[in-house]
Amino acid sequence: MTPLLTVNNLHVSFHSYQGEIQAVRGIHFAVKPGETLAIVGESGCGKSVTAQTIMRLLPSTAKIVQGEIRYEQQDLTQLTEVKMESIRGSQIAMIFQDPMTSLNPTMTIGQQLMEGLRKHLHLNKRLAKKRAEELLSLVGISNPHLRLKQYPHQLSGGMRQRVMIAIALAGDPKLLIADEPTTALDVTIQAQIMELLKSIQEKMGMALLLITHDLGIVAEVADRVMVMYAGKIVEHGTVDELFQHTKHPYTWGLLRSLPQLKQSREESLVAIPGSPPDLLHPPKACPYVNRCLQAMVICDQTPPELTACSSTHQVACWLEHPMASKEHENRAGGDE
Amino acid sequence: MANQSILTVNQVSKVFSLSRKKQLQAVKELSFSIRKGETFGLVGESGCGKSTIGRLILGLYTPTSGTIRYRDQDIHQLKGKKQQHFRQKVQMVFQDPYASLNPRMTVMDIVAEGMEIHQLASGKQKREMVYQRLEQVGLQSDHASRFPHEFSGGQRQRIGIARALAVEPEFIVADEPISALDVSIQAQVVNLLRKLQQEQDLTYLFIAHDLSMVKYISDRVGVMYLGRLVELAASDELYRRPLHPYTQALLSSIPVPDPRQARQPKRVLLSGEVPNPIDPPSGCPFRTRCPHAMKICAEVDPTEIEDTPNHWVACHLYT
Amino acid sequence: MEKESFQPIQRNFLSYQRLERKQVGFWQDAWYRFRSNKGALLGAIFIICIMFFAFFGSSFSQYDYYSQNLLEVDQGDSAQHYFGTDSLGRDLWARTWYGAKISLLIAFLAVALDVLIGVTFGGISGYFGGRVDDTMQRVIEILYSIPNLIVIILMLMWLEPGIIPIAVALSITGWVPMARIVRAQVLKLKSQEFVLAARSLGASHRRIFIRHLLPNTVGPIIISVSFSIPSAIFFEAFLSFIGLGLRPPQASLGVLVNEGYRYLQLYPHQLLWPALLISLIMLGFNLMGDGLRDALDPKMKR
Repeated sequence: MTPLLTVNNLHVSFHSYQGEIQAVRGIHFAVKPGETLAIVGESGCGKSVTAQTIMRLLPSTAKIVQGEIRYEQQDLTQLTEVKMESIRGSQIAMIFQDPMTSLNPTMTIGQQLMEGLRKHLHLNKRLAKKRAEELLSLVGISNPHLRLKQYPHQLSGGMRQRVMIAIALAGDPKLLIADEPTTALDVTIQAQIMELLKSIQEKMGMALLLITHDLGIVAEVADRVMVMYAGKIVEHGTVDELFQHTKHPYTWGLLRSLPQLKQSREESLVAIPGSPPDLLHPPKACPYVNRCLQAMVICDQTPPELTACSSTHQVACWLEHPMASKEHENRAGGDE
Repeated sequence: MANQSILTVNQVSKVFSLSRKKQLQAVKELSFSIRKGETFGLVGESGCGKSTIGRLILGLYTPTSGTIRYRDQDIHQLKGKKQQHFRQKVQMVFQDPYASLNPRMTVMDIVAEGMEIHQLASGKQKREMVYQRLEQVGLQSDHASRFPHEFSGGQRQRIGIARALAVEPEFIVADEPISALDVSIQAQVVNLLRKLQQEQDLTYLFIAHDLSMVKYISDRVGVMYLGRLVELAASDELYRRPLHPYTQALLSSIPVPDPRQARQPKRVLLSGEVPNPIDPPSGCPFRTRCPHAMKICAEVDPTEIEDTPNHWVACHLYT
Repeated sequence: MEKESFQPIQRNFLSYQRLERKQVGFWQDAWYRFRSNKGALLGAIFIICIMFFAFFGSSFSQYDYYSQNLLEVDQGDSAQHYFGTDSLGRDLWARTWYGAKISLLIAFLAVALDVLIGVTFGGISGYFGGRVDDTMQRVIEILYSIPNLIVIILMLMWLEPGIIPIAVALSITGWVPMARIVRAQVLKLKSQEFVLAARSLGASHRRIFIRHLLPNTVGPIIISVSFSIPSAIFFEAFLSFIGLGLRPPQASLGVLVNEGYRYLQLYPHQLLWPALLISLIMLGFNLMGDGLRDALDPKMKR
């Protein structure tokens, strides 16, 4: 299947007076039509910057240093702003973390929804209204007729996120980018929104690029997962590969630092020591070396390449090298 | 000795007046007690009143009714020396690692502030003690001259913990201390809190919205909903046998980082959202979202009953 | 590839919490930010130059600001009189820089009073809140509702015009915006967690105010000062222009504009120099103020 979106060797930097902060440092990936790809990582790992780069919504201090983003034969990094506007919303849509700040407080829900419909689908007012009501019921909002006339502050956080999803769906996009869509919401609402995203994706057959720090959510909705650390991809594979045949020590560390509900209080959590590197002076070798419990001499000297360990699973770690000791392999899938 | 309670919250309510007509009942007739040396967890969604109760316990708010007793003294009646003593023995660790440290003070000044206020040490001795605290929380003594903005979130949280520890407290209210941190850092901070508890014989009130972390760190857990305690039990018991439908829903909404388990059909997915606390529903506050709501739930507010020893629940299903 | 490369690294686990960036203090950080703003730097250079000449400019000329020489009236610029002379033969170079000095002194004094009253009033009002705040806000509203020109004119009729009376008259109403800024800042800060932390440590009101609130309002205060100095200079000039300011031979920029304006059609240079200086001072402070806002406003921080 030809991919819908391909990102090649993308480098993005932010400018500050202290120097260049290299937020994304050479990533490659592809999103196929209809699939869910999750990008996981901690704050500052470059996952949100990647999403903003695809949408060309980067702040003015950021620039794309090199790389290309291919979407249906076009390189998004080269498009004019006018052309990009026609892609945003109708081809690729995005929902954000904070549903409060991403809605305009002075416009009604209806106005904000119909704006996109009229712009992208060129509907007249009556048809746009009808479609807006359909969209609201699609995202599980009752009485859509009344809701259209309400303002964002009259809705709760979960409702607002539903409205954001409806707005994103208005242009019938082929790719939906969800940047931490549930982080600002309460757990019970989180579950509702994730269910909703899943069911909508099935109904509309669009691809979903999910950006999150929550491995639990990834396990529930994603087909494939990409783990980012310090602006690079460290592991990339299907959900089963990543969770059951974890290769990279960072992925493994992330999984182990979560308490299991059945875990007893006597066992302490396996924390990852230290903190991520400062991307103002990114490490030349493996970025994880200072926190890695299995670091070897080479890890501090040469950066590991992303190498395939199956047709779908890739990992950037020297432990995969044939000369490395294989002791660590006992731990993966050890919870069987 | 182990079962002796150090803090007792008795029928505490707190009402905030938003305007002449609107009142927000943040906490309603809450009662529980915390034993010396244990970790008591409080969970609930945003707006359930869990942070308000933390601030009431610190004496930052005055309750509308009810009493909070610390070592058998009503904390809101304390004056002068006794009040200062209380302020030394009960400390807080805050949620936001960015807002909880004064950006214009060095780490040294931040950690030393409590020692100065309570005149625990001065001069060289004070500096030595600050270095010691910093090392205790996993930082280095040469960090003392730096300003908060130079640290990462997890490191700032460590500074906040060092500040609380500096005055040799007995009781620490940790108000969502890890929810603003990254996953890998959360475990570091939790492990640190547990290590300190053992070293210093601390008692914790651990407030969070993440039931899996609360369940892991706490001995006993209270579940709050709309200002009320709906269930209270030992943490293993709560996980094994959740009684209240809300607790059941909370437990099943936690996403499990295991694709095999995640794909199984699951869980009690709650419909709707938390009602507005300014205008709470009649009777049981949870009835608007409860899958088992009955006629009586709309009429009578359920009282807490002890279903099995030490397992309390406020739900009509069990009366 | 060597086998040794794949040996585990031996490490000291204590060094996990380390800081890689070099230490940058708050003021240093602000300075880097300020420096990168070309306009602000230009404004600061204007102001430094003007202040230099205002305080030392008289030593570049043999004339003083008050001596009259009726043989050399209304001259244009020359090697003797760089800015020419006025209708009484006084050297305009000396008078212009003297006037600038007086104008700046009045402005600095007035703004210092604004800060003193404004910070105290706004700080108390914001910190204690509730009824105290309500009462104090009513006072501010009443002061604001009286046209300040009337208050100042009454003040100056009562006091003899001079540097101090004019500065006092300007700050009678001038402190109100400062009080509002400080109050807003304190209201915002006092519910922040670091203030709650200090309260739960048992810190006194005084300690909280001096160590936690005040240092965090310095930024907005400086920004506000950098905008109220030019407006004080402008207001002083306006008062002098309508004849309520200093009396000759005393001079301020306003007095000079007033004098120059009378002979505008005959000797335009007499108006040109003081007017130009007022404009440059205004421009300089405003450019610098913008730069300071960018440098000191924490919202810009990444």
